[in-house]
Amino acid sequence: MNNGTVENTPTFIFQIVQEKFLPGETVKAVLHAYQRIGVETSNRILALVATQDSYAVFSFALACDKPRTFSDLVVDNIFPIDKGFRMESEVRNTISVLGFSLSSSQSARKSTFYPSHPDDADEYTSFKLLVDDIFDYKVRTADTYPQAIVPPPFDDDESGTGGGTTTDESGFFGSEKEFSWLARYRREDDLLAIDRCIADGSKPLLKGESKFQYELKKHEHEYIINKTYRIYCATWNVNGQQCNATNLRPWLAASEDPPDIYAIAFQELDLSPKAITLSESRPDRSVIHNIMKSLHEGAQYEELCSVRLVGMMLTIVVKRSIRPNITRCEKQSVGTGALNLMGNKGGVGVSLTLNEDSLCFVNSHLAAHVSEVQRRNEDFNEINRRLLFSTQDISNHDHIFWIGDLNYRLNMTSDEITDYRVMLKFDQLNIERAAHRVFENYYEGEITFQPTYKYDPGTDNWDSSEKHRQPAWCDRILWRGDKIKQIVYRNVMKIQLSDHKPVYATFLADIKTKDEQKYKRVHEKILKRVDKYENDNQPQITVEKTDLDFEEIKFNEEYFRDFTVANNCHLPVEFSFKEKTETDMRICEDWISIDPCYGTLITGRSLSIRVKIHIKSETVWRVIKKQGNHIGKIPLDILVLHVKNGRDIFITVMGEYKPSCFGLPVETLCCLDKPIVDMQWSELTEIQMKSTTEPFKITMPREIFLLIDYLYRVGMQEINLFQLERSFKVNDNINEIRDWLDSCGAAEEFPGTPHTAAEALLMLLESSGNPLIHPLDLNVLNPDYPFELCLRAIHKLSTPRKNVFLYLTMFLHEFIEQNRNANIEVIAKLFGMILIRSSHDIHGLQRKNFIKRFLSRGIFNFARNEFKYS
Amino acid sequence: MSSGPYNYNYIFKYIIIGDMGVGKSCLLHQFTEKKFMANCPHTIGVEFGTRIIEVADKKIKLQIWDTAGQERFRAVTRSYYRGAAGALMVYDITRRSTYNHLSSWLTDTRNLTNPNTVIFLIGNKSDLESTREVTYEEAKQFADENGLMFAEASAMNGQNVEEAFLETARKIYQNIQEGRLDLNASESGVQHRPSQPGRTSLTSDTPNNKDQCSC
Repeated sequence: MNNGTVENTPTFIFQIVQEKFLPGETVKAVLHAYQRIGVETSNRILALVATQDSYAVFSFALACDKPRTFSDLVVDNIFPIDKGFRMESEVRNTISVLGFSLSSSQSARKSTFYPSHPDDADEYTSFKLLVDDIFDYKVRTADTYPQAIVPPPFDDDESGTGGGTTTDESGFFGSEKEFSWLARYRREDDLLAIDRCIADGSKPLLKGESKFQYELKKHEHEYIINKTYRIYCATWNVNGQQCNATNLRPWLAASEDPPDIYAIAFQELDLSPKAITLSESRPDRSVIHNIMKSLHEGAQYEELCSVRLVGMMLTIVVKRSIRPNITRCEKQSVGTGALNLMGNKGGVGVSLTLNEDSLCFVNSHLAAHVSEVQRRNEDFNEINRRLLFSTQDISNHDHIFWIGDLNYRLNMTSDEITDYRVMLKFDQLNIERAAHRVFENYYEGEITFQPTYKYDPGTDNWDSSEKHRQPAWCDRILWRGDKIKQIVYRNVMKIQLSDHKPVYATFLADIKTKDEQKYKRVHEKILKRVDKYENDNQPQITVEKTDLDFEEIKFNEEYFRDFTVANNCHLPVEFSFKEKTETDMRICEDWISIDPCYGTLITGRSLSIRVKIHIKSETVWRVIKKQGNHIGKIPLDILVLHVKNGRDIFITVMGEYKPSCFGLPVETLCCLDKPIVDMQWSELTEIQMKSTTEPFKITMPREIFLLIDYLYRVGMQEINLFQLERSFKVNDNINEIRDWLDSCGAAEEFPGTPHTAAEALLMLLESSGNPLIHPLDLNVLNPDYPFELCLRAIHKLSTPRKNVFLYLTMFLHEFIEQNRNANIEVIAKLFGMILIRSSHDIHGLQRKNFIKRFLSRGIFNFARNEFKYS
Repeated sequence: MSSGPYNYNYIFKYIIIGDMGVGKSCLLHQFTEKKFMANCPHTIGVEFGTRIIEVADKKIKLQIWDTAGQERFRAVTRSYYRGAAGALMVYDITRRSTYNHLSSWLTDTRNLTNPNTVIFLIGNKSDLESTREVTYEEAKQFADENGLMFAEASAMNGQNVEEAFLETARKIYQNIQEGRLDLNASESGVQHRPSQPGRTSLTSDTPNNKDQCSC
């Protein structure tokens, strides 16, 4: 607990951040923040770092939630405090900071951050103040001001070294030399994704599409150029008057050059209560028709889109030739009238993508009356909060134009009208903006025209009504974005229809645009790089060996081999053993087991995998089949070790299964003329093939005879022989019995007990590929089937089978007769399961009853006759 | 930012098969890295490489599976044939045995892939002319008789390597154009990705959403 508290202290974080840097590079402040990456958020620690003559803000990604050492911090981005540096806040109200963005000349795009503790304003505020002070200081000492339009970083270097610096170094601070110390911290433009966070699995490796996007963005400076577009913004409060017959040309065709984009805003198109209550949202076509007639004649235009809310309407008109460059267009509206709902006040907006930049146009009509300053500020915040487009809010746009009847008045009485320049000092909007209470980070051009409100309609005379409203600049055009330059900002006195005069402003905006030829080149280049990257970033696993040699394998013994898999690559690796085929879902043969059969290894880790072989009664015949007539070791199985997104490695399980009586058909056992231990598989398979045609050397397998004989001699009074619950504790002895049987050790003493002998007998009977009663006439299982016919069915079995069956049932009959504890039901059930293993779904009860028929009656006469036959 | 310019239009799956030591991995390496891999160890498993190529102005991503040639792995590698659009069947012109085994490789390929899988026969190690055991003519005849594409190539000097991979892709693409491949069937070995042009016109592309302009 103590540890935790220490680690969470700001001093501790300060210390570990400082450890990232060299002496002489001092951390001045840190700030906890996060970034939104898609729907995810990713924590960052921002650090303001100073050297002797330059400053930079570092953004660190965290390897874990609570960094403990400096190595848990990974440089994610660097913002040198140069002439293009900006730290801009998104302040929605005076209390909390919703987000802020960082950019500098060296980063092509600004990055948005959100303070991790928005309610604790201190950490953020002190960080921001310090950064602002430093920037101001640098600007002052450089004795010049940042230009409104900053040339974007553009690097024409084919090698694409990335992180290009501005080419413009006209005596301003931010020279390459000043920031050379940053190079140490810039991430290598390496194709291998060597990253601690990736290696330990805490961060995913970018693949395919996302890697491509990442690279494309990283190389943006190689193909993005700025293209200047002319933008014409216009606003007019028509005071409910019909303006579809008014000549709008003085207002809309006033520029010298034809604009590329028009944003035309109206307020109070319709003041009727009906329009208000119904929240009229259908654009007024007659007005739009009039607009289209009144545009600049130097180009062909088309309406891109119109959005209306009651009296407010915003129409975006674009030059026909640039229409294909607009790839996205959305509209939205927000009412802030009564109950913050009614559409008599509020805003309408259009968001669009032009080439590579996003643009937002907002037309708002804010609360009226001199005293309602606070309310107007709130309306502004409300519109910002609620005017949301599918993926972004207003502030996320690269360029924002905010126009409309903002309704800010003058804090003076009308008697004082003297000089407009003097009056502007009393302009509420100017006062509120200076106090950072509204339109933070927006610009407005200098006002050189007389107030736009309030006139007697049809004249240029100030309001002569009883209210005698004082003049004000209600109608305004503001913008946000560094690449916008205003050309003119005027009102139009000539248009006298309303009590407001229309206002317009023209701009030049630098829009990020793909240079198609350069883009194609970069695209090709990146495609190749991503290709290479994908090949180089295949997860790799190294295995200690691909052959697992089990040497000699005997029936019912356990063997294992271990091998190591290691991850020596720079990525985490997920591995698993692959299923054999789409239909055979096993990862290995039934008598092999693998542990673990899947897992994850982070970089540098290794793991031991154990492969076990245990050949039991149920599977031995398959091993025998596999061994075939091969002498010596063979590949018993091939395991496929699969690395996710990577290659497959084949692991060969080698070994030689040694012949044993277990698993061999009784016919084969009856043809042997020497101990099995002395036999090769080649001989055994030969015998096996002949055993169907040649006469048997013995009437029944010696192995079965020896076991039953032993039981007959020693075990007839044994308790709990032949139980359904098979004890596996006796296995060890059974392997001794196996060796005794296989070496024909009849001369030696039997190495087991009645119990192990009984188990060995059961295993011997159940280990052969086919059950003893094979082939099986299913009729015999019918309880009403005449016993005579059952006997006939037994008679039809091969001689060894028949003999084993008769000998066994006679022994069991005798055993049940003699042994008080013997339970015929149990014994019949046990042998029913073993002797009749039909692939047909035969009810256990039927099998039991079949055997029971033999056990319950003496079949000596039949048996005697049968033995005579053979 | 407009989205999705990483628009390769197709993914073709290839397999490389043939006897051990004929140079399958080296051919793949030469194709993806443009380098000869000397002392290349035997592939014990299945390796994997990708490269994006261009055929008829379409970007095609080749996913190439390089299989182990050892006889003992034969049964296992068979499970990798499925869904291959192209099979590069490789023999070594300096070892006749590798050529003699072609019919067995071909049988596997025919049995385990779809009828439209393009099979390209590569006689590798064409740089080792002095120890040649298989003539160009007999291999060409074998290829013709079995309807295979054919070239002699050298993973060492790169001769014909690029061509073999690209010719195969062209042939697959031609099959697609002529409607012989069912792109919806997973066995075709081809995945089609509808292209996502970087710039689309609003009129054709924008869903008719109430928040979006109805222009």
